[in-house]
Amino acid sequence: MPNKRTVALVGQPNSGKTSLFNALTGSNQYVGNWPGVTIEKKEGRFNSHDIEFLVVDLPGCYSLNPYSLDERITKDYLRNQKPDFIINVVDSTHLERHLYLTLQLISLKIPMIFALNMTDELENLGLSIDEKAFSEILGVPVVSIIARENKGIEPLVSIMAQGVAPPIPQEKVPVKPKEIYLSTKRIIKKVIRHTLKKQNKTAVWLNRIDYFALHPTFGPILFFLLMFLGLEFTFLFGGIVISWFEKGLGFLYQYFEIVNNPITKSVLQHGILSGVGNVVLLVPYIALLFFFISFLEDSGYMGRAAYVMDRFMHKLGLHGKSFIPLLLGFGCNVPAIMTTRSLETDGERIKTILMIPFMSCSGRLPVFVLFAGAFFGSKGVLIVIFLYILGILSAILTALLLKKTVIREESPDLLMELPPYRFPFWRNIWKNTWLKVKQYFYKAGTLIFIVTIFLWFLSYFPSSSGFGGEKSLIGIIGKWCSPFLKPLGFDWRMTIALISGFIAKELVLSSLGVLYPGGSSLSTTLQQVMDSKTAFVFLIFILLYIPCIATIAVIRSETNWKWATFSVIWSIMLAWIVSFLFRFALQLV
Amino acid sequence: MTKSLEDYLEVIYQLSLTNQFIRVSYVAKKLNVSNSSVNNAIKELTQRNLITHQKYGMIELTESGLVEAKKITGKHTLLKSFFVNVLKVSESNAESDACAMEHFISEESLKQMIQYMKNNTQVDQSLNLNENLPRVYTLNKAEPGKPVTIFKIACSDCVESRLQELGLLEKDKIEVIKNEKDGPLILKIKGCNMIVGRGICGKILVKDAE
Repeated sequence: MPNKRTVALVGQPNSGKTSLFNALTGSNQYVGNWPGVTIEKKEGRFNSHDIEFLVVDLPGCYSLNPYSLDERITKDYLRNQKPDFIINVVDSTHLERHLYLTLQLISLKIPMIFALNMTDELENLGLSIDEKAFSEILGVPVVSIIARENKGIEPLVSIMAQGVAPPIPQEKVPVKPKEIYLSTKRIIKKVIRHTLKKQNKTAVWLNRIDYFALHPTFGPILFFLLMFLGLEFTFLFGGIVISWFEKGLGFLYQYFEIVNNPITKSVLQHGILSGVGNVVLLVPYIALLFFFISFLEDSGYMGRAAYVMDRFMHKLGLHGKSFIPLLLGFGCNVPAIMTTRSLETDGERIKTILMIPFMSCSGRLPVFVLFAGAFFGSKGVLIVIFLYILGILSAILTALLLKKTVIREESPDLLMELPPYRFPFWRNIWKNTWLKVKQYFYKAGTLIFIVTIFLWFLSYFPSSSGFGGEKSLIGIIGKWCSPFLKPLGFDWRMTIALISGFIAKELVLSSLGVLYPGGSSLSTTLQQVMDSKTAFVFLIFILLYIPCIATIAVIRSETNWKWATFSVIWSIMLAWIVSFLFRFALQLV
Repeated sequence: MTKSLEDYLEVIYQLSLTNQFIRVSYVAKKLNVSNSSVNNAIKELTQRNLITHQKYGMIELTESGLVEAKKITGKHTLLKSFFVNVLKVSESNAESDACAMEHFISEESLKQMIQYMKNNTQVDQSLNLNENLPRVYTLNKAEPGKPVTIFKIACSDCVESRLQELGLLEKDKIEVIKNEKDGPLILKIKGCNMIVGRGICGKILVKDAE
């Protein structure tokens, strides 16, 4: 008996494959309640019964005839990689449709286990499934699970360990859709048992929400209200926590005064505290933002937003499904760009991908928050909301421009599943948020730390020049680059900050922290070195020019060099022009 | 539109009620004419955007074609029932007379006939003849909250096969959950709520479910 087995998770979108993947391997892959969360195969390992299982989580697909890129990944994997067996995950509350893929898989004769997920919801509907009869009809082992609560996993693993044979269905599986659906209907009649229906008050209540969420007028209003509340909530709670953190940072700065070695002291104070410290400081905002996005994803609201926004998106030559990647762009542009794989046509994908960088991501948020707090006080929230809106308008402009010039094709009609509302599962939201916070810390500890130390190095040497002065290396570089940004009113230090911002937007803060070191917090220092109008124009530039190197890399890998270059040039150009216009307008005021 | 074109349209409509696919040969057989004359008529009807004719020989009514065809068929049924029930003309003569008159009769005369039949309770039964025809319309005109039966899907091949795989099949019953004036529809297909664009729905013919 081999002690290594490869098992692939296959199922229709939103059936809970990634939840099962997490339950099996103990990983923390991102889950959400909307079709198309997983767009790439993911691998994880676990050991049980002296066997090492390699679990492969595949993107959901409605059938084995792919309709979009992510579905193709699954089909290609099944055809080329030949896993030892598959687990077909189905949403047991939508059995009739989910069985369609199951029957197609059975006809491929791949050894499989049939995992009935969300059996708790089925019970609530007053139904139960005769697993034994089911297993006999399909000729495969059948297990009931509740993946997100880790229930039914042990029986599943023991079947996995016993080994799985190719399916031996009772009757031959038909090929044509019509016939397959006749089969699924027959099978369901045989396996579904009616039990006592539980009173489900939440369902009634949630349907009432849908009246508003899907209403042509109230729907968009509700959406913008939600966004506004989300931002407010992020600011309100974030601000409280941050004020404690800032005090701690100031205290540490004082504490490092006792260090004797001047170089070590400078690294600690100017490099680590002012540079990296200012980035780490803002982690509560990141956590709250992702908490909010994750809440939306888990509740099933994303599908509603896609429906409500479809009308508007058609004006841009897109459809409602493109709205989901755009919305996710507020979290992080990189996965958002990858999510476009679930869109059907190339034109639509490219258009959406080029819009996403203008969606203000969580990397830009800390910069906005700090500046808004420093310069605009209580009006800060409004400034940040204004920036978000300006970003959205720029994305719309980009789409319209592409529609009028290069990508003229009409968008195909929307065709997507509307997931049911589920009460957000706190553990999921917490896990998703924690995942992002960890990533943020990791980024601060690696990329941002290294670049900041590099910046410190450039600022410190030659040591006679005075830290971060015009004569230091960084000063020479900054002076050399700054003519390009002079017309916008940015000095050479701000120029350096923007250059390092190419790598990651958080670095704007680190480099300002390094270049304007002071005993007090960065926000007080900033107030002394620039006026609020310049700060505002600076924020606009940060909002619009390329988000980070990772975004460019992912645009290139999802499209080609041509579009990645276009995105870089277009965004810098737009940033420059818009900033210039605002500076000009503000000078008149 | 000429008299004979109207006849072709009417026959295509009648065939569409009973057949899944309509081919040139079916129309020729029904009207007792040659394939080439059907082809000529098809060409003209296509130019008028009343039907679409696909490369492998399938004929389908467009939305406006459907409306037009129903109008003609309605006139035909009305005339025939008037002849049979009011004038007591024999069934076969009523059929051929209705066939001839349907192309020329004025709206006014039709209205008067309907009025006459309505006033005359004896022939109430015959009026139902008109209503017995299944009312076929495109899915984007379906009323929300009501179940409909899929009559025909006439989308591009790729969309059509995807719709079938999602469970949208001819003769199946689905429920329209949401249908606003514009924007996509929400349909309940095989127990799942699907958002389907208005354009796609405009190419799906349905009738009221029993």
